Parts: sequence; structure tokens; C-alpha cells
Amino acid sequence: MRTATMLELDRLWKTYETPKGPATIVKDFNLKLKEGEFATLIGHSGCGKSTVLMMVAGLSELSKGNMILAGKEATGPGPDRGIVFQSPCLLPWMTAFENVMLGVNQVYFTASKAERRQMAEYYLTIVGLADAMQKRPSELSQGMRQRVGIARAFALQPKMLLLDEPFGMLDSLTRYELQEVLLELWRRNRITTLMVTHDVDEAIFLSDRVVMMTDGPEAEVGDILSIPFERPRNRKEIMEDPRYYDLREKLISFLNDRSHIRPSREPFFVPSPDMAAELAASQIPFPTAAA
Amino acid sequence: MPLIEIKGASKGFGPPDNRTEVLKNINLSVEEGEFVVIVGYSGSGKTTLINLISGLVKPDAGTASISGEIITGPGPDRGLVFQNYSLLPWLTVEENIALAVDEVFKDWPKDQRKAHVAKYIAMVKLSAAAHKLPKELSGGMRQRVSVARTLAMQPKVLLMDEPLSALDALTRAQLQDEIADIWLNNKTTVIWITNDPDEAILVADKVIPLLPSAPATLGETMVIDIERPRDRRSINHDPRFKKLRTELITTLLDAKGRSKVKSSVKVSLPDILPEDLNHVNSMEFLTRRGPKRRSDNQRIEVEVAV
Repeated sequence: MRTATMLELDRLWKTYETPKGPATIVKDFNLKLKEGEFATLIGHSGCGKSTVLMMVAGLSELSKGNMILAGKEATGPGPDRGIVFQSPCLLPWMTAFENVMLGVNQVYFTASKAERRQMAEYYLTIVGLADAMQKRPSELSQGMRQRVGIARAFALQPKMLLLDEPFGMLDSLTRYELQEVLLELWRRNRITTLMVTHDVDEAIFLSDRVVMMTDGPEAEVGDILSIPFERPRNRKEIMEDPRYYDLREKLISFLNDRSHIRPSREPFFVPSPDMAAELAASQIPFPTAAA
Repeated sequence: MPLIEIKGASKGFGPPDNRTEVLKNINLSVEEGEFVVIVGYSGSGKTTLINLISGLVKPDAGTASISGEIITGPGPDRGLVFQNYSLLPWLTVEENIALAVDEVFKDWPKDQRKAHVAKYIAMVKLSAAAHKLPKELSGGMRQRVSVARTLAMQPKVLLMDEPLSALDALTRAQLQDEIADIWLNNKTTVIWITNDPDEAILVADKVIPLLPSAPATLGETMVIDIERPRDRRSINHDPRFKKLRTELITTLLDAKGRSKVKSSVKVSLPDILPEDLNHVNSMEFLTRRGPKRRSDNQRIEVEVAV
């Protein structure tokens, strides 16, 4: 198994100039993602999760720090990072198929037309839209539109997939369905993924690691939790697993009680084993249980 | 005798040549004082079901009855709470509620009606905002006004059609607890419709899944035997909660899976790799014809179930 690092975020800062002086939104944010890893950022609304994601996407400039994507310094947005937003952002005058083809035509410009069409058809079929390819967004339900958005991102075979609360606007049952669709695509092509959510169940079901962020401003990594479930995952098996409710409880209590505690300033803070490993990998000093 | 009873009801819409059957063979009976939650997907016919009880929709076949009498139209014995609050924008909180109270309790003296309105405003903790207009209130506060207005009519049954779906997660949790508390103190019969399985198990005595076959049918009733008041954090560790939650979610997801016609299509995934658009002027394109590929095998045939 390859374990090359796909994304390395080294002490990211995001500061905005305001009339009252600079406001720091994100402070010293460190994270390493391995190739093929699915990581989730979880935190309260307004804590800066999306800011981190937008910096990785290249849509927001870094105030300080480095971002290395697949061994290269990354600047600006590009098709090597596919994004799915909360609302699918489809062009309303194009059909689902044309919306996907828009990006496909760009990144596969050396391929034949037939191959490009097959590419779009393949991804739209897997997300369950085989019969709705020629429909415009206005003829599709919110859940179906988001399926188009997911197909569009995957069809470009990006190095990284960035999901910004992709299911936030859907009702809970549709959300479950789309999570399965996403996992199915991801099973076929394990693109390194960074997702932002505030749904605890979604984070556990989808990801390999959950990164919990402290409350903003000056948000940073509060703790990291590894999700031990085997893939491919089955929702029923996971929900019956005794570890599931422990993980759920850990995340919920972090969001309720601890998200305002800042690890680096709190002298009694001891990172979890997951986070200690992460900090050691980034060569950042941290308190240990013995100290 | 059950308070609300639906027997063999079916409902469809549209002309005979282009008809959509929504509900089929619905049997439901709700005893007085029960808190029943119906969970289903959006678009599966939940609202049609509650409209059968409210009298806004008549069944094509079968009957809906309240206290043994067949329902023929809407009435003040059944109070409705909608997802979109439905408050009159030019009336204050107090006036909105008074409108309902004055209509239902016409023969009461003025002072009694006024005290009645104040009592229900206090019940939903809005006394401080009694003289505000709906536009000055948050979504959660508006929905509380709507709940107070409906309760103030003292209906035999409270019908809630996705009352909390338009609210954010935190406000929703708070209102779930509040409504469960109000119910605990009043013991009005409640029929609540939602698409959130967690919400259903937290508030209900009985949960009934609405299975999304076309037309939809009601699944088996699940009795929620967890004592009240329920604490949303400690309930996480309750083995009964875990079991009910798993059962409910899998029932609904399985039903959705079954409702689709099983077939599969062959689609081919072309073996092409994306080009690096930062280097489109590179010499590489002069020496290479066609796209980058993983291997010489140009396509992979994949069978996908649809």
C-alpha cells in the first residue's frame, strides 16, 4: 500500500484586515493527508472550517504558512482539486450532462470526443442519473442536483476532492442516500478527500479521520479522531458496532464541551494518541501524558 | 375507541389517463393522548396523509374519522402547525394568537380570552415578545407562535407537518425538547410528521415509517418505550435507543432500495487521465498523440445497477 503524502498544510494562518486591526480566523492549522485518505473537518458554524477548505481549494489566499499538494507548492484554484459546494452550483441553461461535460472537455482535451462523452455518462450513471442526464437543473430535485455536482467533481479525476457541507441542504433521509452514492464513487476511485461538515454521523460513516476544530476566531485543530471501521462500509453494521456510539459520544462532547478549549495554550491539555501522532509527524512539540 | 382512525384509505392525484397514486391502503389508529410520529422521505406522501386527517384532502377510498365521526372538512378540533409558520405578517404575536382564540371561543368574556392568549404565549416562552411582529422574530420564535396559536384553540389533536424542518440544528433540538415538555404537561394527542429519524425517536411514543413504495404504505408501528423526559445526550448510551434507531433507519433505507426497479446497464469507463492545465504549452503535446492513459487497455466495462 502506498502511503505518500497528498496534502500537507503547514501552519496555515488566515487573517483579514479590519478597521479594528487584523482579525485572525484560522491560526497555526497543521494537517497531513495521506494519498487515498478521507478526512473530515468538524466544528461549529463560523469556526473557520470552510475557510481552511477554501484555502486548500485556492479560492482564498493563505496569510501565512505553506500548502503542499502532491509534492508541489499549490497556488490558486485548478482542476486538480474538485470541489462540491453546499448548493450544487449548476449552470441552469445546461442539462446535467452538459454541466459535467463542461469540465470534462477542459481537462481531457487530448482525448477523443467519444471518450469524453463516455466519461460523463459513466459518472452520471454511477450517481444514479442514467435516465436524467438530459434534464436541466430546474427539472431535478435538490438531491438529484447535488448528485450532478458530485459526478462533475469526480469526472475530472482530481488529485483531491474538497467537499464543503455537500449534504447540508438535504433532508436527513436523502442525505443518507447521497452518502452511499459518495462512498460508492469513492470505492471505485479513492481520491484523497477533505470534507467539511457539522453532522457527526456523516463524519463517522464516511471518513478515515475526523479533525475537530476549536471555535473561531483563531481556530485551530482541537483534536483528531481515527475511525477504525473497515471499508467497504455498511451503515447497518456500523450502527450496530459498539464502537460507533463511543465515537459519536466523543465527537458530540467535543462539540458541546471542549471546542472552546485551545490545545496549545492549555497547559493541562494532553492530545489524544491520534493527535499526538499527527503532531509528531509535523515535528511540533506537544505535552505528553507523563509531563 | 381510538380518537383518530383511518381505514383503508387511498389517495391519488391527476386525471385518469395520467394519474399518480400517492397513498394506498392506509390504516392508522391513534388513541387519545398519544404522541405519534410518522417518518418518511420528502415527496412520499406525508403531507397528503396529514391532510386526510385535517380534512383538507378527501380520500378516494376508505375513511378517516375523529371520535367515530367521518371527517368531511377542516375544523378547530384539529390544530395544524405548518413548516412555514403561516402567521399574518401585519399582526403581532398576541394578535395572531387572539385571532384563533376569538374565533374558537366566541362565547367567552373578553378578559378570559385575553388571559387565555397570555397563558399560551407564556407556555412557549414568548411573553417578552408578545407585541412584536413576525418579521421581528427568528424562525424558531415564529414557529413557537404557530405552536402557541394552535394549542390555544385546545384542539383534540395537534397535527404537525414537518414543524421544525426549516430551522437550524440547534434551534431544532431546543424546540423538540420544548414541544415534548409541553406535551408532557398537556397530554394533547399529537401526530407529527418528519423526515428525521432521530427527531422521531426523541419525541414520540410511537413511530410509524411511511414506506416510499409508489403508492406509499405505512410500515409497522415501533413503540418507543424510553422514559421521559429524554435527555438527548445520555440517550446515546441507551441500548433501546440504539436498537430503535438502527431499526428505523434501515427499514426506511431498505424500503427505498426495494422501491427502485432493479436492472443494470453496462457503461464503459474510458482509460484517460486529466491533463495538467498549468502546462498546456509544454513540449509534451508535440511528442504525444492522444490522452495520457493508465494502460494500453483503453476501456473498462462496468456494470452498474440502476
